[in-house]
Amino acid sequence: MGNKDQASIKNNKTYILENLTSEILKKTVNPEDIYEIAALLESFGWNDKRVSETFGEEDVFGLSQVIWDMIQKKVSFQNFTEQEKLTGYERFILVVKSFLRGLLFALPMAISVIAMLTLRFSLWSYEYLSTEMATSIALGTILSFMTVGGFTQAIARRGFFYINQGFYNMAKKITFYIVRMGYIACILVSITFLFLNTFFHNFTYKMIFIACIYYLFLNSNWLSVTVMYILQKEFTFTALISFGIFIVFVLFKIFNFNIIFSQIIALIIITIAGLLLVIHFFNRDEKKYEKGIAPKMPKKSIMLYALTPYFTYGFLYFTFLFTDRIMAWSCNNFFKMPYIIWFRGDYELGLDFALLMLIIPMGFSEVIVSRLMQDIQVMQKNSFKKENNELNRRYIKYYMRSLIMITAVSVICAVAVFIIVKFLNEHPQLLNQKVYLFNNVTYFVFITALIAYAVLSTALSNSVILFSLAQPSKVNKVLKYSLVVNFVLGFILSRWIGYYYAVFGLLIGTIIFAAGTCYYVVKVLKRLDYYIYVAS
Amino acid sequence: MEYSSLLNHLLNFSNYSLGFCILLIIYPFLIFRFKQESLFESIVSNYIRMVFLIIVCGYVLVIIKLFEMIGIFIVFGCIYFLSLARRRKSENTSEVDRKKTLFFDYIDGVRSYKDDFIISVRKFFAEIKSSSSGNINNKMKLYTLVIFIVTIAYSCYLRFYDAYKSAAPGMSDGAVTLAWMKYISARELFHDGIYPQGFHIYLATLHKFTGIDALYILKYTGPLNGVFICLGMYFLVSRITERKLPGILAAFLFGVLGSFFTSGWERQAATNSQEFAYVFILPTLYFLYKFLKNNKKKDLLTGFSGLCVIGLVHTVAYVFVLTGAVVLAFSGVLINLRKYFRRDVVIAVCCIISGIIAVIPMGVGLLMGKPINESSQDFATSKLTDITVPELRIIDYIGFACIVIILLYIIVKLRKREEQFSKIFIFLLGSAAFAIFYYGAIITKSVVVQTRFPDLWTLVIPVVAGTAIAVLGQAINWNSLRHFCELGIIALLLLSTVAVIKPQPIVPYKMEYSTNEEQYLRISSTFRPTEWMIVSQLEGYAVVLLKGFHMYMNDLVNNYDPSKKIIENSKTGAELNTQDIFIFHEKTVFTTQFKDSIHDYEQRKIDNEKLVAWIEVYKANHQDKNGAGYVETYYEDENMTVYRIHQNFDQQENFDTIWNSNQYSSK
Repeated sequence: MGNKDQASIKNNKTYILENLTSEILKKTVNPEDIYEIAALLESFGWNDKRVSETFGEEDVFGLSQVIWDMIQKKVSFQNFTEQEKLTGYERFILVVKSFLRGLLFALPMAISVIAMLTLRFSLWSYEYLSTEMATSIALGTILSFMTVGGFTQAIARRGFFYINQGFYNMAKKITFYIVRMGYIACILVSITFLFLNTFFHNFTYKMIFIACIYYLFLNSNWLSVTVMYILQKEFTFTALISFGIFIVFVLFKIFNFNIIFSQIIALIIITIAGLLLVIHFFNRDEKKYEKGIAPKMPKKSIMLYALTPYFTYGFLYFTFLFTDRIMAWSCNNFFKMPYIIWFRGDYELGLDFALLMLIIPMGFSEVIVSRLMQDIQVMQKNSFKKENNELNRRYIKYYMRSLIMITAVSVICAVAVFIIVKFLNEHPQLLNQKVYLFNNVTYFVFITALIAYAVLSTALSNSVILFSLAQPSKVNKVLKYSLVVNFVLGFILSRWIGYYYAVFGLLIGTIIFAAGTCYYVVKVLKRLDYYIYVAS
Repeated sequence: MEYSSLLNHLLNFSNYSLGFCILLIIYPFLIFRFKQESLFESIVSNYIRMVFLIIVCGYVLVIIKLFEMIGIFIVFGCIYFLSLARRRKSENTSEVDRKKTLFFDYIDGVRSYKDDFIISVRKFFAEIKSSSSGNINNKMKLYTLVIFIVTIAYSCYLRFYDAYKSAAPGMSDGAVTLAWMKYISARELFHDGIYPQGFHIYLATLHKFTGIDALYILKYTGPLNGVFICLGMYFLVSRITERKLPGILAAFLFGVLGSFFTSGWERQAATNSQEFAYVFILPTLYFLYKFLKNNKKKDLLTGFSGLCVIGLVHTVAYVFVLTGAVVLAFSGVLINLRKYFRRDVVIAVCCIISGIIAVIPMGVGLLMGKPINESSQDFATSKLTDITVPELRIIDYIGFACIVIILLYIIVKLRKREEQFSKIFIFLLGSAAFAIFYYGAIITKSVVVQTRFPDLWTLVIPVVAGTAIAVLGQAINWNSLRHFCELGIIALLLLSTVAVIKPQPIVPYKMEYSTNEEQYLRISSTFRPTEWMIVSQLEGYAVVLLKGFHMYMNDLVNNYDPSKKIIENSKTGAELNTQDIFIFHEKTVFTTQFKDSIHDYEQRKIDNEKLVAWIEVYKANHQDKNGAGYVETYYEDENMTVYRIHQNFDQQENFDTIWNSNQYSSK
């Protein structure tokens, strides 16, 4: 064989080797070691004999070593990512947009509150209901939030995931699957509830019937809301709620039907309308944006495994929110209650008004957390490994700054809501009331709940951060403890001191929730590269 | 629905049974790890432990004012999760993985849960079929089963008859037991002075799990306790003699023929803490005996729980069980001192600790500043003025003869002392019970000993009789013949009893008309709790407590002005602000057969006459049929009339209630 032939073979060998290296780099940008390369080579069909014949290496591992060395020589450096420079105006618009999106979610609640204050009724509440009916509706409502909380989280998680990638068909399939599961769960809970009541006789059949009707339709509405939320149709749902209140107005005020009947009819109509709209929106978006490929649905077991932490979070969170109410309403210290749970308006009123303070912090939270995550992303890209410790310190600094901002906004909101509500109480004629809305118990609950919700907004921001870093199990762990504390403390205090002390369960529970999530956020940020690696 | 209707009892008793099963059978299986030799033994063991747990939790929760469904759920939930965590630790990880894999296989449709379910159901029925076919083929076993069922069914009939027919609580203690049970529900300990509250805690807890009116709990639990005592006898005798028929004989003697030798036969159909404590005596002694024999911790724990339960429920029964435990320990010493001494010491320590546990609530009561229950104290300390030797009845002679038979058997088989442990124990127990029955009052001069202590002898007679039959059966070497003879004796006894003696159902004396309770049940199921009031005599108080409100008739006729628009107290000016008021007027005042009744029936007659006049004045002032406070006749029969006054509160007042905002109040 002449020199020319040898050179030709060598060139050919080098060509194949380079091709092989680039194939491997296509599969994995940074191979861990020669064994990973060996495995890939074998998957390409290279065996010891072929390697020996082609490259003269002893076996696949020998070739892997050669490719490994080549890759090590080829290390390339990426330029630092330029942080997107925004003008003051652009930044302002971005902040306002994010803020409004966060705020929009609270719009239906605001409409309901306005309806209650002006019309004295809403889609599922009425000021002059008998205590019996108020108890039934409250039970139905609480139970609906607890049941559907997990499903809404799952829909939001999975639905957003596919929509963001442009797979509308997949998003539709998976969303409707979860919605179906949600309906099945609701029906099962209703049957269980009915069965338990038949056995324990805790409530009258009328109460249970009303509770179940509200429960089923409210559940259906929450599911529709979630789907509309992931499709970014918040205004539609607000309009739907307003339309529902309008139907109640027409039936109750103009046709003089019973309020319960009017509300049930309105709920049925908006439930059906909500479902039809959701189907319509999905179909339309699918036609408009679908990428054109239809990947297979993941296995149910995988889906279940991936969604369980989010489902658990939804259930735990809503259970946590309502636990203190249940504790307060089930307190029977002075033998006044005919049934095991009895609606207490003064307690409910305090919590309802306090809840208003969450509207603005939720909007801010959206802005602040997304900004924090962007900053973290940019910092990750623009740093060397040796700067790790410094980087972690900076993450924590950024986080602390965000935390302070959210806390400050929450405190300001709490104070503002307190001042407004106090003013309205002192000037009840503004709300068409003759006398004060609040008694001492309501004020006690209102002030304590304001503090609790202010703390809760911080805890929720922390939770969003942990969710963004794929750490839902940490949130759930803290939430479980918070729920237990809320439950036990609310139970003990309400029985030992007074029913309205159950609100301290909520307060201490939220403090634990906030402190626990803070601890975990700092812990994760201290070793962010590790957690991101694990999550990936 | 009529109280004594089959449907009413079917609904209420099924609720009762379900609650009982959840609380006392299913839940204990979830939390207690130890399994006994048979299912029946496991159920009995778990029941004893669970009752101990219920009483301890109940006392703690009542003292810290957290006794309610949520409090109980928290405690039981914690216990369950602790036991689950403990079990998980010991559970094989591959088993956990297998369960997880199976679950995910079902989710993905890799395996069909429908098919698996069908297969497991088929397997279950096949197992039942194969095990039962073996039993049914054996005719002797079938006959034994039939006789056992007939015995228990007859015992049930005798005891449950009154609960089925009459709604009124049996005996003078019925209303007290009901009230004390409700005080526990209201988290009030020792309302009428210090007295063991274990039984009342048990009733109150059971009530929370059944969801039926407390009156039904009272009516069903007493007879059930009586049946459980019979089952306890069967349990002890059948296990000690290792033969079922002697056990059935013991249960039969007490369950069906008990009227011939028990001093307080009617107590079997009433609901009292003493009878409840008796339920545990024999099973507790059995588990202590088993511990002594086998030295197993699980038996000691059950025995100790039984001792504690009895101590926390009734003092007299506790003395009985201690007597049994001492006799048992002594039997061990007699048989093999070296072998059983350490176990005897352990039993002694258990007795001491259970005594301390039994006394703790009393100490708590004293710390709370409560006095000892007056009537119990008087009864416990009263001395006999006229001491007489108990007159021996035929059954006493039979019992005595049975003890002699056992003794003879022991003497014959003296060489195999270890094998005769159970016989020696029963012989000594019988002898001790007889001695206490015969000489107890003479020695102590105590009223309690004379009136209550013969009960120990009553409980022991069936046990010695059953054991004696078993001992005589030992003489017959051929197993089938022995079984046939025993079966023949019991079948003959059963048939002759039904044909000749015809034991009549137990009907305890009452303190009021059954109609009172029937009308209460009608009212409480029709009207919302807390929005009605019953005006009646003293007995009505316990029944109405924690459901509606109660007023004594005497109070109404003397202190409330019938001429006012809303019924008003003439002295305080306080208005009766309940929606509906039901006035129970006795046309013929009920008088009890209880000879020691302290009620002033003459005064009751006067009150009822005054009530008639009161109603007349009230009617004259409230004639508008559609107006608030109109009186109507709600129920009437030959003995009584129930009047209903309906006070209609307006929407504004309802609004005040719901939002609890006193500024809105019109008053």
